[in-house]
Amino acid sequence: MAGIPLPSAGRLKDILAAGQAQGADAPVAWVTAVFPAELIRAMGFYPYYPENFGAVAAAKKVTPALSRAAEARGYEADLCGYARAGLGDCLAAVHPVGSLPKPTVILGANNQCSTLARWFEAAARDFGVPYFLLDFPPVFGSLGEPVQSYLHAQMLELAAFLALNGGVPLDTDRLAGIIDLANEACDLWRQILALARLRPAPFGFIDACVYMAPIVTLRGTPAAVEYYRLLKAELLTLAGRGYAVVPGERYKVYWDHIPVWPRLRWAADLFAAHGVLVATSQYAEAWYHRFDSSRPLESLAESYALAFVNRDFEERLRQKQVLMANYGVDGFVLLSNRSCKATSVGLYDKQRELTRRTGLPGVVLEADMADLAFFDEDQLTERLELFFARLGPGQAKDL
Amino acid sequence: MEMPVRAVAAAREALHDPAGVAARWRSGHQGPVIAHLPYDVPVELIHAAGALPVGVFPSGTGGEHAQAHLQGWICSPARRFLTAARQGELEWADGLIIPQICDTMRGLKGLWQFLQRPSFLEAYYLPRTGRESALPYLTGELTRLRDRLGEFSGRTVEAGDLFRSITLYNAVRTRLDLLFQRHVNRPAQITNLTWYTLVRASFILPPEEMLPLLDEVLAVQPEGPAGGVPLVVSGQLMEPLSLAGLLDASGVVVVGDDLVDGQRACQAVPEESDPLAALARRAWNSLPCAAIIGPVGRETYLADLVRERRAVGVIFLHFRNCEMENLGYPGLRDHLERRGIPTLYLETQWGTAAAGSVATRLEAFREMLEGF
Repeated sequence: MAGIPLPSAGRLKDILAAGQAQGADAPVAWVTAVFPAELIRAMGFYPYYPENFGAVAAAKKVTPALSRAAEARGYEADLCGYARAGLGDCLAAVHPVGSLPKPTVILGANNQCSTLARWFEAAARDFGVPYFLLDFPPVFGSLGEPVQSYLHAQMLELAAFLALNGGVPLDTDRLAGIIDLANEACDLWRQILALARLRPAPFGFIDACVYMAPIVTLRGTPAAVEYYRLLKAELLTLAGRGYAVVPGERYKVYWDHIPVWPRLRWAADLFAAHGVLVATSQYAEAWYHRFDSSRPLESLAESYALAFVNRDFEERLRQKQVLMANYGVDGFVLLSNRSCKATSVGLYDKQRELTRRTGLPGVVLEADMADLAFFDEDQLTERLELFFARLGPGQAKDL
Repeated sequence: MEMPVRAVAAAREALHDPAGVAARWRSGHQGPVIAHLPYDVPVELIHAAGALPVGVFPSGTGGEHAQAHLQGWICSPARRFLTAARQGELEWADGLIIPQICDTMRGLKGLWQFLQRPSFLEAYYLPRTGRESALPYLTGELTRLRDRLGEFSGRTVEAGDLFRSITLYNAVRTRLDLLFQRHVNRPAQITNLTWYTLVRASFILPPEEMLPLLDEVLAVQPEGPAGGVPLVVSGQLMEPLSLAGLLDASGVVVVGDDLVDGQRACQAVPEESDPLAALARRAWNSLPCAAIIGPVGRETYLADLVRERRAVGVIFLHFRNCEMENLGYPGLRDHLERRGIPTLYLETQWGTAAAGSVATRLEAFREMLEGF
């Protein structure tokens, strides 16, 4: 994994650092990743994403060390690795990836999973700070009543909570401006992801994992828009020259959900060695939103309610099929992620059903997004090589 | 003195043979039998729709049929429920309600629909917060469920139907609570095992059958000494039920709990003019649990319960791989222990609790409490 030769390679760190610096004087709101951060920004808080901390800890392979501190307090080793790292860091004497900033408030949502909401609740208790849970009932079929009214009412409660706990009063014009910036960044992000459809492609899902931090943590800021404009332009230039991020690309595959962070390079190298581009994933696509700034609170609530993890079994299958068809993949990989019950329940049947519907080969990998204690390299390599051998010319059937 | 009455035997029989209960009910009724995974489902709605609500408590471990569908690190209740469905143990049910209490149950609902293709499968979502916005949502969710049940059973649920069902179930709940008081005061007569058996039976038997059984038990003259080690139990379910017997054998008297098949089942519905709103209010004010941040925090509830019931400690009874419980556990434990309340953590799996090890740990806990 040599990395894409981008002139702007150094900009990513600068932008993220600048984003952090902006928050230096603002009250800090810990927030789950799929949360209406646009509202938080509009009310003067700096949104901090402990899941990002979990991903960084995982990539740096320190999750087990942080986890031990959490386990010593009574948390199970089977819990989500992000949660163990986050809870463990607050208890540990050493902080191998820096400390989590002390929050002014903690904001959780359960549209991704209930685990995050419980982790944040536990953290709020430990820090002694106010906690607000934005409660997203699961969406079966389409979004309707009574869920919509409930979500709208909660957004008003959230605004009142933020105002009470150090925020500035809600200015809807300011919020609309932030939403417009978020929409622009989301559009650029999706356009960048779509470059993986090219054959050969200059960019794929594993690269998206490297470049996704601004869309996750700086959504709604000019910096995110500026960065993705630059990234898109540079990638288009590379594509124009016929650059292939996987040299000799022969196949494209779909990867379901989060990568195994501590072995991202291993995965990139193994796939590339077989001429396979991981072209798309629900995880990368999940950061795309389209908000309506003319009805900001309602629109934010509705869009975040439709996070794919919050959808039903059939809709999640349908979304995977759509991505597979749109990216013309030749097969799919589903990660049975021990850290993530929300995406893993039913995965074995999803594999069988996706193959039945699309005719494509698929494989389920047993691992953990954060913890190498659950990573068996020999077994995973063997499973993937068997899977690669089954890839052949062909594209996912359209819906 | 162990309860000698027929009622307890009938309750045990119902636990072992829900299919028999369903068949007997069908012989005199036209409506469907609606199973529900036992997490605070509003059974009054099912009953008012002319159906029989039956809680799902499959016996034994039996998770092997789930292996093709669920990972080994998914909690044992989900694995056991799915196995029960896959091997035909739930064929007595015409439909099923799966409460959406966690990520696993959310996934299980979709998987169940995909694998089993039941003619009636509904989710039931309890809001996770105790804020004001939750109450109208809950009323809306109950309205939706009422209408779906009505469509399936072919009987429109009128307010009067629901009011009658609430009244009937309230009678059951009130009697269970009276029996609990009797158990606390006369633990040799109404043991932990007897009381939890009766509560579970109330999830399975029709309320019309349950009421006379409970009256029969209540009619027995209270006798026997007070005593035992008074403890509070916190968790989801008294599962396996044999744990209640181990508590008896260890001299423990459960004087309070927050279990679904315990004190939660004793919470009556306010008998208000709008029965649907009353059901919502009961659910909203329900005892705190791992899934919900209610108006009162669980740590406050448990600490107050210990004080009110003069308990000397708390047993946490948690399923392995239950993230919802485990993420709350250290905070709850620390809150209680800071107030001088000793705690014991017991990890279980559906259908098995490693009796020898549990008995030893209970004995050690008891000895520790005696020296406290």
